Amino acid sequence: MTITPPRPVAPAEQAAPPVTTLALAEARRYARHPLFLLAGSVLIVALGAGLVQREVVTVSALEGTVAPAFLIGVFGFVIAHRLTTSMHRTGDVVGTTPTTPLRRTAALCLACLVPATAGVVLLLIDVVFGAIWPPEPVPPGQTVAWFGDQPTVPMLAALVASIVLACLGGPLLGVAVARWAPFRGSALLGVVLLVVGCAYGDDLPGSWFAVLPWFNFSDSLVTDGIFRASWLRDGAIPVWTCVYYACLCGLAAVAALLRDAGDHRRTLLTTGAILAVGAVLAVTFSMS
Amino acid sequence: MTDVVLDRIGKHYGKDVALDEIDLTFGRGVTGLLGPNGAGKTTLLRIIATALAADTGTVRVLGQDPLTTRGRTAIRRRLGYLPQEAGFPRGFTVFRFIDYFAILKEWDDRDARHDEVRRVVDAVDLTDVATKRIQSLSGGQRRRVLLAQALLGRPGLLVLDEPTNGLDPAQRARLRDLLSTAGETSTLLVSTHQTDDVAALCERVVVLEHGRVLFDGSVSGLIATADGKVWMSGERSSLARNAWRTGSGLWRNVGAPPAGADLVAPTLEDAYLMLVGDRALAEVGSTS
Repeated sequence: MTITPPRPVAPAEQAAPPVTTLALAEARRYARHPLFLLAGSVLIVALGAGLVQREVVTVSALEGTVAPAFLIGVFGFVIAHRLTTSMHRTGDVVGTTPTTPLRRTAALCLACLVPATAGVVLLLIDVVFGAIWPPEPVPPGQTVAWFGDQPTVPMLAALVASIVLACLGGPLLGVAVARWAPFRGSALLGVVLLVVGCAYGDDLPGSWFAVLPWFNFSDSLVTDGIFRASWLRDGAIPVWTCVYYACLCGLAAVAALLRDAGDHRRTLLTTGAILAVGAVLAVTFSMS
Repeated sequence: MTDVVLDRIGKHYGKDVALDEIDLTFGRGVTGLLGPNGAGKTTLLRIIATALAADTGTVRVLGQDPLTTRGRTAIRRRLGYLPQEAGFPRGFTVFRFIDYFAILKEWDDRDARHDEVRRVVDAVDLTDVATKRIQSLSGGQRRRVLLAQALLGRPGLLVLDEPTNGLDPAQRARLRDLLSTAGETSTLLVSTHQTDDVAALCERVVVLEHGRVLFDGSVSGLIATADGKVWMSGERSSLARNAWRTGSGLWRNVGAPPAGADLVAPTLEDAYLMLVGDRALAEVGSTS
């Protein structure tokens, strides 16, 4: 045991430092989480297998959205939940540091950019491979590029919504649930509700599926058990769905921050109200 | 210089009185808190460490009011707190865990932070296991990990709740060295059941029972209360408050001598047992 002479060390005596250092620490914890590494490994293996078989985007880039949304988005819900509640074990130790719960929540929300970045990478892979190996035209023989005969902007919006925003929204929702329901089992309950809700909600009549926090944009033609073609489904306008999902992501972050808002409560409530109105308008436009 | 001022502090848990309107002040140096289980030691330390608010009375810590957000943050910037019980989140190594808490304690500069983490890890003699996961450490080592985070930044106020729990004699001796050095520049409050730690470390001792202060004074002053009340003899005194056979085969009788006993110098433990025992007898007398 070494005893060093005392020195008057005191970090940041006045204003609190920016939250970036803590956010980076939380981002590192997120990136090293076994569940995130597992999800990444599965996706890399699947991608590798697809490359070998040249089936990455055989039909449409839209077919590749379920795996990232589930493995990064839904797993991300659990990871973010666990990261948020993990420090509860330390009891008073974490509670008696100068960093407020609000700042810790903000850092955790920023750490959700890690899965979002993974989502961006997966989106780019989808787009690049779609350019290199465009989908088979239906009927055969026609020239196709990028997303086959699908319009580029709606296709990109659909991919951003169902990959990138799903990868961001799941973890943000995990932080919010962990802040408001930090009991054991709330992560599992949240995942079940999220997955079952999205799966069963897909059969809602008319365009009502568009209110779900995630749905598959792809409509497909399967004959004799063989995948023939897929295209953007009717009933939801991808660009507005993109805006809707972005508002939901914002709402999840605001809900998480509201738990220990302190002096920022009014600002957060106002932001939440604006996002809620935005979400309602966006989903209405998407369904129309 | 007085760092902690408690004025008629009261705390209840339902009908149970944890602290009964006590007045205390603490300044630079090492103060030991003694008392039986449930005496109110941990509650008192948690209030001082801003982990708990008192029901009644006023608290000033390091010149700040812990009831205000600004005051609490200011206190926490100069506070090191080791709670009685705390767990650890999974996956952290010793270094990363303490580094995480250094970030929570607003150490923004990476190099300075890492230097400080290495310093406290070395101070608690954990350098050899710094890269090991905390789950693989012994109970004593885990206790020292928690102690290390409390020492970050050489806090002006160190609140340690049973710091020697789970430590072997050699580690306890090292800890005394560390704390006595820290006490030269900081206000140190140490709650413990180990009277020999208090005797070895503290200039002042406060004995609590049932949320009230039984004794507040110097260690030698407390020991002096047992002068002439401890005897060694070949037999047990039936009138003794406490008696036990020592390793030499002689009986140590605290409170009343058997015939032919030799008066010996009391220890802090003898004095503490006399004090707490007198109180218990007085209460039995008053209720019967």
